Amino acid sequence: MHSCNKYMKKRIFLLFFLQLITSYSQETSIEGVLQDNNKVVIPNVLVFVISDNGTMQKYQYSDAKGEFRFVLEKSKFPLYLKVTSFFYEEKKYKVSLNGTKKIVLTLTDKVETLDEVVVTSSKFSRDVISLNIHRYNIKKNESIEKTLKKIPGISIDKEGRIKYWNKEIDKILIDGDDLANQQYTFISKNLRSEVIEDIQVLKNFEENTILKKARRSDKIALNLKIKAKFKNTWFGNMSIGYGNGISSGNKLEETVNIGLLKKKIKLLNFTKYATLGGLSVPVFFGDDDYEQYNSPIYSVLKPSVSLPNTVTDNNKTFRNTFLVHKKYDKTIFRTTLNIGIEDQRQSVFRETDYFFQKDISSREKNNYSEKKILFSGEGELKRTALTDNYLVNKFKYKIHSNKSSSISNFENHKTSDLNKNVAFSFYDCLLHTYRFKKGLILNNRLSFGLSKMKEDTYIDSESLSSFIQVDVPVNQNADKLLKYIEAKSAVSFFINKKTKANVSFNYKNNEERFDIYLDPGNVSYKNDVVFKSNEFIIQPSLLYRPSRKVKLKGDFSTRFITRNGLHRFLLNYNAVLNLRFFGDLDISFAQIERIPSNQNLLQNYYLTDNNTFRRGGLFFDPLNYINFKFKLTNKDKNNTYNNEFSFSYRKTKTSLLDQYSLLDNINFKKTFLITKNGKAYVFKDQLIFLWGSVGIQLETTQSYLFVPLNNEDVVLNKLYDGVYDFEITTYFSSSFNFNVKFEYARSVQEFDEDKIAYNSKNVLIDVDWELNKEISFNLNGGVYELERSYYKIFNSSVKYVPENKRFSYELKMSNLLDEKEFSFQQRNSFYTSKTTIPLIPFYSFVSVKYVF
Amino acid sequence: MMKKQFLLCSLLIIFNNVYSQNSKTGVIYYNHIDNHYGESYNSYLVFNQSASYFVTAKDSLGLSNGVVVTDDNGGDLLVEVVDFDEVKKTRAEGLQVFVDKLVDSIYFVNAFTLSSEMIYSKEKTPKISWVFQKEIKKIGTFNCKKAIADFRGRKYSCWYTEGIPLPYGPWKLQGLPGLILEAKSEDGFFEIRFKKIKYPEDVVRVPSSKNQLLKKGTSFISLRDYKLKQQQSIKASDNSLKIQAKRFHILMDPFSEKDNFLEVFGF
Repeated sequence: MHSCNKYMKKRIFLLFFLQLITSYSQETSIEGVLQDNNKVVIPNVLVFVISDNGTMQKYQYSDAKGEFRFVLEKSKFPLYLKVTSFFYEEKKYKVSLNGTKKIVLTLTDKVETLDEVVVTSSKFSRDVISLNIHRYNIKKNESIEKTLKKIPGISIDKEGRIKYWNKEIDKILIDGDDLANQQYTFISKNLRSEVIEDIQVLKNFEENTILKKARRSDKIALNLKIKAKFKNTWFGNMSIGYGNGISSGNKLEETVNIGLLKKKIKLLNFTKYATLGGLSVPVFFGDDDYEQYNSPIYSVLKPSVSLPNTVTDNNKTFRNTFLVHKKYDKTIFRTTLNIGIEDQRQSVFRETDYFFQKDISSREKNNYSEKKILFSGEGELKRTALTDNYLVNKFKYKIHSNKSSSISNFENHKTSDLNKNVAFSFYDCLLHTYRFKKGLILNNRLSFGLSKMKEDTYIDSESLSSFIQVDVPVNQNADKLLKYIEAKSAVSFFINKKTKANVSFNYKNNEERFDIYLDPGNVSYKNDVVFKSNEFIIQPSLLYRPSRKVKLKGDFSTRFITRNGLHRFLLNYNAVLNLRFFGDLDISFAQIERIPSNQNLLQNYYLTDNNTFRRGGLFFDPLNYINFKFKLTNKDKNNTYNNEFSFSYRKTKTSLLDQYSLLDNINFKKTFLITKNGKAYVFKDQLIFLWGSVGIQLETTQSYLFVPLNNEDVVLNKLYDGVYDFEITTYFSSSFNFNVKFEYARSVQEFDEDKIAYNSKNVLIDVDWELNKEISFNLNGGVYELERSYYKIFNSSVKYVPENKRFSYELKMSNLLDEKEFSFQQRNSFYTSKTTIPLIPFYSFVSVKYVF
Repeated sequence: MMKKQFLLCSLLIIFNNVYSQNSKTGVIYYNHIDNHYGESYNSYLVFNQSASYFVTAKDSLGLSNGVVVTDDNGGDLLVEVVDFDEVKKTRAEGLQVFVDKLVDSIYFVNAFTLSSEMIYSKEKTPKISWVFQKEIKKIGTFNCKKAIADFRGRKYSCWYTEGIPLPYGPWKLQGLPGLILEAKSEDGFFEIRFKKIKYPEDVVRVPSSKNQLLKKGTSFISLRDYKLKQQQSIKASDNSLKIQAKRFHILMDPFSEKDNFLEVFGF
């Protein structure tokens, strides 16, 4: 009984407590239901609780049963329910917070009509991809090029050409303005990344405002978005570096870069002096054939090696690049000025075996020095704010002076030479595009130019003098002059939704003069020829895309050429079919006919280096070949495997052949036309598969060439080249990753009974280790094997870039294992040569950079 | 006789109800900017009292930067735009989100990539915790208020109008005290801009049943299974990136869910 009382007491206390809570609770609830005039519940109607002054306290939509329930804090002020709906009349109801009754609100239908409200969206460009560079570990003082290397999808070759998913970019713009045209490496190699907010990839890039409106372009450009704090103010950076090694000389590098980027005017100036190798005269790339025309006749023997130039080159270089972009009212002017001075020294040792001259081989040791001065520039004047027209004029100029000298031993015969070359070229191009009313677009281009070159060479060579039967050193004087004019018009239009057509008409006229002679010498070493050419080309092309899986492209060109009174008619066609069945399949077939360049038609001997005579022949037949290519790419569903197989077949009907031979210690290179059929078969396969965090790539190229070596013999020269690559790449989530590549190459030449074969093996590694955000380490290099000799060449660098500081530091170590020399092989049908160059001995280099 | 009268009355009530529901339909046309594919689509949201239906990236609606031609009757007709050299960015039925308030559920049709199959899925209507902002602006003739929220890995800011007091919005953004006319994720991945509204609308309809979204042989999978598919797709894409990087000798970053999926589940 006692316990029972105790229990009862507890219950009473609990009930009392609960009552107390309820009585003094600060919360209350409001429940209700919404219905229409037919007493049908209305779901999804907005119910507000508002205060006296109309302020929203809470809101809710009625549920599927038309019900709502608010839990509210008790208020001294009156509260209201406001029921608003798009389909029912609004209702307001004063809430009694003491009542517990469910509120029933009846809503009446609303008849509402909304006038169409149309908002024009501001223009959105769907062709811009922001690379969000801040996501990568970008060091503030690194160049744009270094930043781009860290960004997925971007690759950069040795010369600085940038590709985005294997497609080369056209330009680099700064805040939408073009400063360097196609010489964009001026910007990518010099501008530092701290200045930019982000990099945008501009797909469908087309400067021509008329073409931009009418069709998609397949060009890509990069746009650098500049940070606000670097706009309208001078900014820049300067760096100084010093290096030394036990046996290498002092190494120096100094750079000063400044810039001013305003809306109306943009200026950039980059200056660099270095003794670390590398070139000051940039590799120019443009798409105009004529830009290549003032190449020298005579040159020193220069090796082209795939190693980093800090290991191979003894260059001293100075370079200044100045870029301006100025906007006027309705005109844009852009100009580039470049000054480069380069002082290069190198020693080369070359052994050559001649395939068809069994007992003959030659050995040559050459020390050369070369000094180049280049003054070049380009300019562009563009008219803006035209609606149906696009008008731009571009010009380029180059003044180039080159002085080289070499001392060489050719089979113990001493030879020295001195070559001076001065060249000048000018090129102008006027572009005009006009859109007619029915979408027809006419694109006109007029270009003209001049290229002049003068070359004097002095050669003191026993072999040479005795060959041409004189007893004094010889001089070769060469003058080259090219004048050209070209007009091109193209019309493009859609035949129907799936078919686009384009027709172009092109007229070219050029005059090229060669005046080359040896002094002393006779007429057999004299070429004084003028080539006058006229060319008219009609090229229709068609693109047909019946479905997403099928694309067919074809073009057909007819060329009428007259050269020095002789006439030729050339026919070229090309058809490409792309099918997206069984993977991605490309099939193409083309016939190509072209006339060889004029220099191949110089009939008498001229010197191309200190012991090589070259001559061409009198012919005016087109080079003719057909090409067939088949490429199939497929992958598995989970993307752990990808295979690309391609096969190409080429049949040459007429081709040019450079025949090499050695006679009395003089090389002879004869260029002539082969009219017998040759064949080439190339198989390529690239297999990539993923195994956890490791990617493995197997790649092979097998090529079989059957080349006629003269016009009489039926026996073909057989060449086989096989390359096998095996590469392992890690994708660890840690800061440590590496790449290892094994390369094996085999090449075989067979002619009649004769056979010769070579192998080479290389192992290349690249290790990256980001110790933390401020310190990073890189080791790269490789072991190269050639005829059982091993060359171990490695370089490393440590960078320390403190955050929020103006100074940063770098330590580089070049040729870590102090390898003395490097050899590599070159080969063609007539000879095999092994070239050896000395390497820059081990040195370390420290640099400090200051940014402002 | 009584039975017949009752039946007739019932039918009339049902018909009236259905008819009135159907006639009360509005449609909003948007410009959907998808910065993942760098594309902008014409899209619409059609709604009635109890449901809304959002459609984007549909063939017949086309790309919003595409050509808008005029049909024979003089009205605007949005046509499929044939992009000559481009991968097609739209699909026959488009990407769809059907919000059924009567069952408090969302039925949606999505595809992870431009070439992957359509996925049909469903979920309970997610509760988005909106935070109201003081800013106001006018879009067309509508006075709009701003609200922000975190939803599946992204921060969204939306402009809604109390002038259309309905909880709907583009895609899965919903639950505000007014229809959403503009929406944007903080990173710009997703953006919606209002173009025009039409009410009443008598051509474009809200599906009468969720099953109208389905194709033959398909059914709605649960959100759990949908997430699983997303996880598998991320793995496959990451593999693909690694392979492409090797093919073209370029660097790659791990395939990121946030950079490639609108909904981030944390894989």
